[in-house]
Amino acid sequence: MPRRSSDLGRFSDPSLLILASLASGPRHGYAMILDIEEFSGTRLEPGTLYGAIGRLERRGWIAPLQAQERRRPYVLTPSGAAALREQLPALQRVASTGMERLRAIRS
Amino acid sequence: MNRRRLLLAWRLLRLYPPRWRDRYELEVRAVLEDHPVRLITLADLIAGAIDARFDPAYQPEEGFMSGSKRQDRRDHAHCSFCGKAKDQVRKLVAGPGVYICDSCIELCNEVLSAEDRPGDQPPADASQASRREPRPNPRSWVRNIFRSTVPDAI
Repeated sequence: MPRRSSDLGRFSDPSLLILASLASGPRHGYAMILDIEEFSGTRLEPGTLYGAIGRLERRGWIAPLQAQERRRPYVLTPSGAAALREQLPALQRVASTGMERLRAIRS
Repeated sequence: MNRRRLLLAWRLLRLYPPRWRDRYELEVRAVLEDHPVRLITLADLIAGAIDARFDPAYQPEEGFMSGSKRQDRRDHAHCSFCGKAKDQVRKLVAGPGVYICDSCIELCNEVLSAEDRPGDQPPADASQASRREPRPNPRSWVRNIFRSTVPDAI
């Protein structure tokens, strides 16, 4: 079942989810919502999504492309890719530490 | 019901600051056409509008007045959501650096009252309901936001 973005603290931060979604190529808003729900189980609502898109655009981590009809795709910029690359190892450490400790509880 | 909620969601986009609307409104309208509009979607749009209103990037050029100009600011106060002047609305409520008029409050109330109407919620599945995490209540959420940001009337 989809979870709200606030349930998992900073690692379900909408900005991180958007960067991860755009890492596989440009997407417009609704395509991002579907992709993020599929890979993370988090369903972002449009108000939250566009709040984060605005902030990411201003930081230069994503960039808008030419709109197709009313749908405007966004692309991950090189600095956005660098930011994502920097954050993911920390996320991976948290996940592996959590899994290890859970295994210790079971045994 | 879905069409009515979509129209309500589009109307809520009027609560966003003009700079945000110039840039994102058409895109968000298109997303809302594809996305199922639920009560949490409407509450999320209201929260997004409040967030954008406080975001310096979407502030009008002139910025806020301060100190000795406070009375002058009140005399020329506008609703921060729809932009109408104090003399164009029935009531203007002041918050810290923002104002909201009776029409915009009414629009928010319309969203909140939608929650009470029968048929708004999907049919409950008793077996799943017990396993489900507690859902946020959009009505109390929005009410708390307004309580904390809109303390007095002028």
